[in-house]
Amino acid sequence: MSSTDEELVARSQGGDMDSFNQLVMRWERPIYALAYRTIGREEDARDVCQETFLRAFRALKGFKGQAKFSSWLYRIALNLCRDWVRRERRQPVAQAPEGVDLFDLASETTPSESIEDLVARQEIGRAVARAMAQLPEEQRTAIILKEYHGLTFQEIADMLDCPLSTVKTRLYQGLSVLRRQLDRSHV
Amino acid sequence: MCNQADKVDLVSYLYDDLAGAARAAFEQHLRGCAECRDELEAMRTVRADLLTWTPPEPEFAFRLIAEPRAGGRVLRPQVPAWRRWFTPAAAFAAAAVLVLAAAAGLARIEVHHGPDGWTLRTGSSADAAADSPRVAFAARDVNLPADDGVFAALERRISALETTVHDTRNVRNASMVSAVSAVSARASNEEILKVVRELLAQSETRQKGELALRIAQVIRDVDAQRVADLNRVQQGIGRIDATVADEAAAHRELMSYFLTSSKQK
Repeated sequence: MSSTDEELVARSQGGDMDSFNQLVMRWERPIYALAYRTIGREEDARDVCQETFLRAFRALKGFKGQAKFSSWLYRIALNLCRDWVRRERRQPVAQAPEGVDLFDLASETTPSESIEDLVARQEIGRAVARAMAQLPEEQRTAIILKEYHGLTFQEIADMLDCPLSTVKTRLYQGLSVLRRQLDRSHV
Repeated sequence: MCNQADKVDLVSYLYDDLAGAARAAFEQHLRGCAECRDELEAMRTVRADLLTWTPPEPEFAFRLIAEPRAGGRVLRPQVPAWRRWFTPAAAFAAAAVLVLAAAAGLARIEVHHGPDGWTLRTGSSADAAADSPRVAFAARDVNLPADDGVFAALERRISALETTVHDTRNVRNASMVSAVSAVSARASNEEILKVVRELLAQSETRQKGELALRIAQVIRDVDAQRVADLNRVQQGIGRIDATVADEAAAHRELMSYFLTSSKQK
C-alpha cells in the first residue's frame, strides 16, 4: 500500500530523500500540467515544474501541514508561473501550436477570417489553448485549478487568498469569455 | 443570463456545488427561464471543450540526489561517473605519474628492501646486466652495407666500457670486504671516513661508466635507424629515376616517330 502525502512529507522532513522523490513522481505531472496551461510553453513549464520541487524541498522544514501538500505545491508553482509571466512581460501562450505553419495559414485567410479561427477549425483543443491564453490571469488560474485539478472552491479561495464568491465570479467570467471565443472558433 | 439569477449560483450549480434549498430554488428558476437554461448548457459545452486541451507528455528525468559534500542537496543532471572525478587536477596528476614512470624506466631505478632497510639504486645492477638492452640489441643486430668501420669502433668502445664496469664492480666488492674487516678491526673514525670516500668514488666511477655505456647504445640505435632510412630513401630515388628514364625514352621515341611521320608527309 502506498504511503500518503503526509507520511512521505514527514519522512522527507526527517531527511529521507527517497520519500521526497516519491512525492516528486506523484505530483510532477499535475504540477507540470498546471505550469504548461498557465504559461503555455513546454520548456518553460518543465523548468517551473523542476523549480517548484526544488523550492518545496528547501522549504520543507517549514511546512507544518496547515494545508494539503498538493495545495502547498500548487501555490509554489503558481507563484513561479506568475513570476515567469512578469519576467517575460508578455501575454502567455499566444503562440502557434506545433505543426501549424503560420505563413501557410496566412495565405489561406480571407479578410474576414483570423489566423486563430483557422487554427481553431483544425483542432478544438488548440482553440481552447488559445482561448485560455487570452483570459486574464486570475480567471485562467481559477479555471485551471477547478477544471483540470479538481480543487474545491474553498481550496482555490485559500490558495489565491480571495473570497469564495470571488472564485466563482472569476470562473463565471472566464467561462463566458471562453464560450464566446470557442463559438467563434467553431463557426 | 437573466437579471433574476445569480451568476454565483449558476457556477455553483454547474459544478454541483449547490445544495439544499438554494439548489431547489435555482432549479425552480431554470424551469421557467430559457435564457438561463441556454447559458447553463453553453457552459457545459465549454467544460467539455476544455477537456480536449491536454498538455504534451514530457520526460520527467529529474530527481533529487544527495550532495556528497557539506550535506547540501541539489537537483543535478545525470553525468557519466568518470566525468565526476576527471578534473583538470586529476589530468595533471595522471600526466605527472606517466612522466615519473617514464623517467624511472629510463634511469632504471630499483628499490629494494632488505635487512639494512630500504635501498634506492639507479643504473643496471649485476643481475640486470644479463638482460640489458645492449645484449638484446646485439642479438637482433643487422648487417648494414655502410659504416661498418664506425660500428666496429663503437663495438670496441662498448666492450671496453663493459670491461671497465666489470673491473670496477669487482674492485668495489673487494674494497667493501676489506673495508668491513678494517672497520671491525680498528674502528677508528679516520679509517671509516677513508672507506666511505673510497666507496663514494667507486660508485661515482661505476655510474659514469654505465652512463657512457648507455649513451653509446643510444648513439648506435640512432645511427642504425638513420642509415636504414637513408637506404630506403636512396632505393626510392633509384626507382623514381628508373621510371623517369623509361618515360623519357618513351617520349623521345614518340617524338622521333612524329618527326619521321611529318617529314614523310
